[in-house]
Amino acid sequence: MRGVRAVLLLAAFVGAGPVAGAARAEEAVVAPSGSYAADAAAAEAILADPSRAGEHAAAWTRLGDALHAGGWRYAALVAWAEALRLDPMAAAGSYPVILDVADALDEELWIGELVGRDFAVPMDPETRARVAYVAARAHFAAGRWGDVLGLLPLVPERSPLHLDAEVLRGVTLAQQGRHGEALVPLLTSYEAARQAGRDQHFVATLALNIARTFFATGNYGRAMEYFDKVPRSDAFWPQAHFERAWAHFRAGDLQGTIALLQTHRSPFFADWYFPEAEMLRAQALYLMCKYPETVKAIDAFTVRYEPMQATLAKVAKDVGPRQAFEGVRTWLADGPTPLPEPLLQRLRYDQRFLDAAAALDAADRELARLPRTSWGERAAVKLKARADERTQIEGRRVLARVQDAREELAGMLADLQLAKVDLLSHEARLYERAAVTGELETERERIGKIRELRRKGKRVWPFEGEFWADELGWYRVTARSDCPASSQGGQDTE
Amino acid sequence: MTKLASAVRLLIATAALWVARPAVAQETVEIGVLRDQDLSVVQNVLYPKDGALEVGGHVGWMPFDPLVTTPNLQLSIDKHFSETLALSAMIGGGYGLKTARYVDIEESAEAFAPYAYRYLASALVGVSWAPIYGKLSATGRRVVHYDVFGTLRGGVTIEQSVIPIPAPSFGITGAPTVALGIGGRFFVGDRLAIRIELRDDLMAEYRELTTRWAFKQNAGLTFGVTGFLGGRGR
Repeated sequence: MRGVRAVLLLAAFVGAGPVAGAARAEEAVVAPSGSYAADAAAAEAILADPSRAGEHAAAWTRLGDALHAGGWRYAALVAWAEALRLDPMAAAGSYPVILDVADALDEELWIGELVGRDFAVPMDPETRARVAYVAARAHFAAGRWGDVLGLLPLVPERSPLHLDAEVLRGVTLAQQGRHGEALVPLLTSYEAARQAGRDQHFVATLALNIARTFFATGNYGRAMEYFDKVPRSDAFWPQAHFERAWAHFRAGDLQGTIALLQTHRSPFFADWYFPEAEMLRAQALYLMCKYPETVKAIDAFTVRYEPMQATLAKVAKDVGPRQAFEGVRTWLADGPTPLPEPLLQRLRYDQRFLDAAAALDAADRELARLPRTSWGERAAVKLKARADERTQIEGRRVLARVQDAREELAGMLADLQLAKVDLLSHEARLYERAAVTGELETERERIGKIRELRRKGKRVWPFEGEFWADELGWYRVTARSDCPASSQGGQDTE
Repeated sequence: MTKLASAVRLLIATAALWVARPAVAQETVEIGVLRDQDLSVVQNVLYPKDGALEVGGHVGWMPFDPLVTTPNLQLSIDKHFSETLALSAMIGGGYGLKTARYVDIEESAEAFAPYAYRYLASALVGVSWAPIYGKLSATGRRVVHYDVFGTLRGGVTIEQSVIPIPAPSFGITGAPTVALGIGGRFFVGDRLAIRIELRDDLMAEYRELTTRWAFKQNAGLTFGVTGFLGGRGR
């Protein structure tokens, strides 16, 4: 069904002749006058008159243009949004500036929904590509994958947005489970982004997406390679490093898994939410038959996450979307918050949240500056409504994160108690069979390895229980498996 | 806190080989635990020198001579053959100033002036050996990687008598020199380091007024910045 809708959208776009569209737009245009205040007053006169409802879309556009000329960007955007809702044709001439302002205020998803409804609106090819892209993003945010793929071909190869469109295509295909197909646009975009000198975070995000796609195809080696391309300085590095541990785990490299997850055990990540990292580490230790160590990991997990689970339950019950949003905003400014801090760490780098917070600050400033005229009041009502709506949307996003974490932790804590009972019986049997464990690495072998690494320009440092910031991500584990020969990967065969 | 990943550690470990025995089944071995020894940290060298041409500019001071104190400038050039060994050259110039003690003696009732020589310039070439690579940190958050090196250089030092000597020589003499040094580089980036060196120039110089060869020692400290010129060898 979604695929059909996308095709219809495409057909509407292809079928719309620019000449016919332009004629419709001209009918709706109200001739602008010199002063933005006079324009706004003229638009207000139309909007205040219900008998002129047919002209309201054009009047909203005129009010938007006037507000923009007066320096009220957010107020202008909400006025244009009204025009787009009533009749996109009426706002046709303002599309480029609408898209610019939406981009500046990170309101592209909202505006994308509106501009993407009618591709018959006349616009130049560059604007058309932009409209297709923002509309595709809006569909992506809503999970309408078919619509996304239907719109992206409207971004031509020569468009500056083509690279972003290809990335979106790759990610969408991956969301559809078409991982093999997704790799083609993602890999070509990765090289293109590097050659085009796109910013480091863009390239790193792309590498992370490629790694995840390789992971999904079961190509763990390539997944590791691309997880490793996310630089340490990037906000996604802790996540990429953790996911790389999953790739090692799936590839059967338990030592590598434990080594990578050592980073997340460091005090530098004490305030981060990475329960899955601790669970994965416990699982790797279990498969190496390191049962006492696994029990220790489980106990540490319980001590750390049981109180958080209680806090999350309280937050889910007592905190509403507005309070959640304000709680994060206050926390980002080093103030108190009712939300568990580890859950908020990633929001420090969540560009969408940061942009929303900045845009809502801008909305507050504009609300204070809007004149107390009838058109100013009209714009203020709409702007306040949008600010409230956006606060609710972002607040709900934060609460969804709380809810996900709550469910995740509830499942993990319940499973762990069962696993612990199992482990204690394994541990008892382990001691009985300790004498037949694998061989220890000799000192001669160890020194040989150090010498080899030195030849490769590496330095080997001992781990002495201290965590140094520069060592995060560089741990190696040389522990042997303690599984007796009669058992395989933690599964007792006796 | 400090850590060493050096030839010294490797040496200690190698020595331990002579007394170490392989683990046998009867020994008590911890089962099921992850020990600190099971973990290590493998990092890239922060300031990879192998094959690189390292140049640096330094300010120096020779503060240990009671009669003459010498501010100076030095230029260093090191061609690294490996992470530890380099051909090392240093040229520099300065001007030895009379110390307060020298002036006191000079102005005393006996009208006696010590026969001291001041440093003017030097050019030295030799080897540099950096066997120690370490890092230090106060809190674990800010970490500085460094190396420690020793130098052995030979060359010539130009000195001048502090007591004025007329033309044609002006009391200037060229002294064959052997210089021993020890220092460290603190790496501030992939291609930049702060270098501190304590150098002792041992020289034999011919002194015109006494018409004798004399032994002299110029011990000084230099503090400078070094970096790689062009691409690295590796």
